[in-house]
Amino acid sequence: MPSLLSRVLLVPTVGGADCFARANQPLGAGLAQIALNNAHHLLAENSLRHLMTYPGPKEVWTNSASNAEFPWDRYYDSTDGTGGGVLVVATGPIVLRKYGDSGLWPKVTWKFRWHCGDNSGTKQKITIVTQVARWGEHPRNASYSLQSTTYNDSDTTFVTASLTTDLGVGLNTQSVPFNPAQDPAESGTLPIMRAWAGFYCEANNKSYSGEVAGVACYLEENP
Amino acid sequence: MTTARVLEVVPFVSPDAYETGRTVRAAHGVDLANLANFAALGHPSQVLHFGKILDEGTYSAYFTPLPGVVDYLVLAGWLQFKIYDTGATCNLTIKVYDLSGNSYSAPAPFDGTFEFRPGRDVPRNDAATSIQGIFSVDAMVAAGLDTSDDSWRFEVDVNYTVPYVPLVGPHIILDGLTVFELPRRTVNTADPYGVLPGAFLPLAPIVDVGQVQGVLKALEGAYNSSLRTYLSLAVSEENGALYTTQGAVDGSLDNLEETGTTPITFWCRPRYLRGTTSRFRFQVRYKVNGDDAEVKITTAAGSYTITLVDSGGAWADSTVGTGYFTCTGPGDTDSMVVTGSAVAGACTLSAITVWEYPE
Repeated sequence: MPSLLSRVLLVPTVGGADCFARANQPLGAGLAQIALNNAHHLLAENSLRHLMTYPGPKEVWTNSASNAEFPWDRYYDSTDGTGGGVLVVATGPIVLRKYGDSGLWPKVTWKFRWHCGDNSGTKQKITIVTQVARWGEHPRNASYSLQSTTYNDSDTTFVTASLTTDLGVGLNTQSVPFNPAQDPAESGTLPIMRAWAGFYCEANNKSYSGEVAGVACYLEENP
Repeated sequence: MTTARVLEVVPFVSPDAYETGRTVRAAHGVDLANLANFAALGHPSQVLHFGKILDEGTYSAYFTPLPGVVDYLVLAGWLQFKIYDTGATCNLTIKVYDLSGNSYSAPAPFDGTFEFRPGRDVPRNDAATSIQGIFSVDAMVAAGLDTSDDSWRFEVDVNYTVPYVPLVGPHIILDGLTVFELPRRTVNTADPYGVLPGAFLPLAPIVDVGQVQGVLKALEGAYNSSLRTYLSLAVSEENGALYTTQGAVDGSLDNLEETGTTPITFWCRPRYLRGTTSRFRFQVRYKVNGDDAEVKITTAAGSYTITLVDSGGAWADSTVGTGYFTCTGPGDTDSMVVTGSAVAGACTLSAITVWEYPE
């Protein structure tokens, strides 16, 4: 459940002269409630984090036959004419934690600035495709729901948009072994994933390219 | 030193269990201890994202050292060929610096001598293309880095035997490079945060004030240590498209412009703790010659500036600046833009990091 106060309630410094838990002080329900509230709130907020930012701006002008067939392997920037035209950005590995005690994975949000291309007054739609893959798994083969949104309501002026992906209860994250040799007590496995976003434009002509800038990816609460 | 496992699940614990008048049971203390331990040690959040690296050279990012809370930093990278070339390899030299210039040099294979090379025709993000490294924070402390510093600088020097040239021939690149903090799996009484759940025994009186204080202390750790990196931008000092300004009046930086002179807007979701703002630190890697310069970060809460002292044209670490995001509750987002000015000559930045600084 969410914390009672939806915020942290600060208490005097632990061990200080005013510490609520100093010696010979009665241990009341109030202190336990504060501790529980703070623990709930911090567990929920600490399970979220900022993952990456890609500055851009980058032009996109190449179309994709479908979202499912998005060319994830075009790993060069769109400035590279032969392999470019789409933009692919990805986070590094993410150590996932369930959102608080909800039992749900956090949501992944991509927030960015964009404008689409203009072909003699006809706006050339830009589409973002998002995907979540396990560490070491190709994004095309990822088993999680592929999501997308198409934009066409701004031609030359950058505007802000965002797309939030719910990983769903079916997400079965990969456990990757970490075995630091120095301290066996710290060995174990972790649920790790990477998040991907691809942008393409229906123009299929660099003269009518759109642009994407300031792509940020972060985790959000769920539900 | 006594250790216990961090319970990596969040059990449902109702506030009703802690009502006034209820009998205190061992589970009350055990549950609080487990929740506090996981919140403090299981959620490190600093992520140094270097992204795709086309250019050889030196890349930097800053972070707050958390020895005793975070024991290891993990480096993860992916290599890709454009066209397979048996001679194309990559080597990495990893160093970490404190504010005084003391340094830690990573051992092999991250000492610049090992040649990383993926297999032929391996798909993107395949495990066979990945590079992993785990670096001990204790080793960095042992190397002399000052744990009381506000920040340390993580430096990656990238070298390719067949570098990237746009539109030309075979080459190898790092498709992505990220450094993140590894969560702790154990509570250790020798560390600053963490409490042993087993200290709360059924039928046993709570005679050690440290038991309850340990819970509160661990929650202090959860508040102070799960730091988000809100912006991590780095380009090659030697070959990258550097962030530059030559204007005496504050304005956008070259290569950080959305269009014209409009700076790029960077979004983030600050960690909401309390109040109406969320504090952050920021630091840049820069060089300026002839006079001081300034770099400024503007958010919805205000504008925050650090002075870049004349470095005589050499690369230098700025002082650590402080600023605020507007954040009035969980789920709030804010944005930031980075601008700068230089009184004399050009001010050039190769790295900009913005990360959380709880208050």
